[in-house]
Amino acid sequence: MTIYSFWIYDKHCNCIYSREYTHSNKSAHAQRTASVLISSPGATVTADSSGVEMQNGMGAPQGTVNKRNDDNISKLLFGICFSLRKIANSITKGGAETARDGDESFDSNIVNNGNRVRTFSTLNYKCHLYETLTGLKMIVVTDMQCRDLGTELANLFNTVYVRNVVENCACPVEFRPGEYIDNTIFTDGVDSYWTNLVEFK
Amino acid sequence: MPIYSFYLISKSGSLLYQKDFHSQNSPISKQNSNDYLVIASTLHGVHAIASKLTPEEAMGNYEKSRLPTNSNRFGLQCITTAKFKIFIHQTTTGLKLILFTSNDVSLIQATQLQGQLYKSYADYVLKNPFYRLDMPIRFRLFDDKVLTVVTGYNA
Amino acid sequence: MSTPSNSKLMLTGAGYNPVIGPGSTADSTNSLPKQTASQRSVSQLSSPSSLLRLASTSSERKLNSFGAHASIYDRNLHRGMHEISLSSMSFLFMEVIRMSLNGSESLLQMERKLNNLGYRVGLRLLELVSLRENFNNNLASSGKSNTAQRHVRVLEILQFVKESIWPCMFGKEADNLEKSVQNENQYMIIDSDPILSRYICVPKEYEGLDCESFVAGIVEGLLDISYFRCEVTAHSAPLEGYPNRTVYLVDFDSSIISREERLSKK
Repeated sequence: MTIYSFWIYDKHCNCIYSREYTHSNKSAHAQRTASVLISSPGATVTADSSGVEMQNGMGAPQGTVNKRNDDNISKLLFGICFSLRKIANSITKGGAETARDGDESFDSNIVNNGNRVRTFSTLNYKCHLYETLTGLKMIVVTDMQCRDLGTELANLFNTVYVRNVVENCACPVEFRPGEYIDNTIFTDGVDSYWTNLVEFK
Repeated sequence: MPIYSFYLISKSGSLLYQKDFHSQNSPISKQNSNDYLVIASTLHGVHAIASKLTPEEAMGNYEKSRLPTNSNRFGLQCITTAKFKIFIHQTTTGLKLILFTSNDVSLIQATQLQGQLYKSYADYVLKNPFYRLDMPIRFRLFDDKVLTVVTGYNA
Repeated sequence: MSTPSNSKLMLTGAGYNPVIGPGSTADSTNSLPKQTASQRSVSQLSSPSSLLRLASTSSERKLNSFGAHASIYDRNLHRGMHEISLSSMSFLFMEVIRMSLNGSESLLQMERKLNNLGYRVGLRLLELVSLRENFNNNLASSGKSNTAQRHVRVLEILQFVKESIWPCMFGKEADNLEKSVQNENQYMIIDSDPILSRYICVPKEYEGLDCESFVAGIVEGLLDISYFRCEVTAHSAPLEGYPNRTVYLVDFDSSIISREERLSKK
């Protein structure tokens, strides 16, 4: 079980947060997870990890934050989710009549009766999708054998996102293009949330 | 374990064959023929995009999968939605067999069924002198065969 | 090769003339090579015992050269089940149909072409099957004469087609043999699941075409060369569960029926 990356898109289809985890350094990494599992969850949140590039410090997994928000990978990922959601809605009973007209995001019929895509997978990886009622989309990429992480995404939204972005008066709720969540408390919260899962290694 | 629909898509993304199976409480509503074409070509495109998205670290993961023969190593394999699942099987020639099923069908089961449907295609379509490659399939014998394979599975 | 007059000739079907030989029903435009072919087959068919003689001489040759050159005659005539791949057969037959479809102007002409192809197979097949049949009989009861039995009655030859030719070609007997109620010169051989066209489904634009005309041609060829002048056509007659069920309608010449009457009086 491995978690490769984590993405958040706002309702204007912009990627407002991207986080990639690298697992190349196996031995150091195994030690770290071991320590994480033994120690209490709160202890793993480090005080501050400055800048965009993550330091290889204690508790903070390797990888990049907000590096790939505007590159092709991010756009393709959003494109896939968008197309699949469109298919899932258009051929389902209930959502069929309204899904064809343009803006479906705020259609109450779809929100209440429509279908939603939970995961999609290839033989190499698996993507888990969660969409909030405000149109925020959260996507986590894991390996193929992983169970459905939809509830974990919802949980992450409730605990980490709401607490550290929505309720944080220093952080914007509407993001302009090119503006990301560069809030270190949020980043640390997300990291500790994922590293505490059995799936992360 | 109901099967809701079956699509055959050629290697260039055109829809060769589409059939809805009328099972009880199927969540899939009837579409007009144009919508079927749109769904087919969207799935074809999404399948290709999914292979581009493979994280570098995950490149060799397909070797761990227990499916014996599969030429769909990088493309989209399975989509789970709240109401149904979609399984995509790609053959070595680029033909795609797509199944819309209920949520309790596993990947292994779907692959078996797709194998049987592929066999029917090889027999009743490719051995038919009146079939032109990459054209829509309209043969009563193939229809009957698909129906017996799927109803045999549903029962 | 299909000027209107010729195609008309093909469509009406000249029927078999024993004096000319198997070339009599063939298309007359390129009759030259065909006549040589017919002469060859006539000389081959002149006496089955000559074939046996040929077999014995060639086996002597094999002895002389210590088996260095084994021909088809050296192999045992009696074989058990002999299987070929149905897929390869289907693909080959598929191309045969495509080829004859490409050069045809009408479905009738196309069926005629398939029929002609089968006709030549029938001529050769009869020889082989009756030789094998005879060989098996001799195995069962030794001391009998080596001459093949020749069928002279209509029912005998049709039984032979159903019970010997069909297993040799398709590995099973034909399912039924019936006599027409309306016409006394018409008989029907019925196959519920013809193997050759098992995977073939005729689309709407070719409705009425029956690819089993090839098999009908085989039957016609071997009946013709056994002095039962006839025309055989294939008609699909689907039943529940047997979508490709085919009826081969054997239409005997009136001279055959009168001969049959003479024979039964004796």
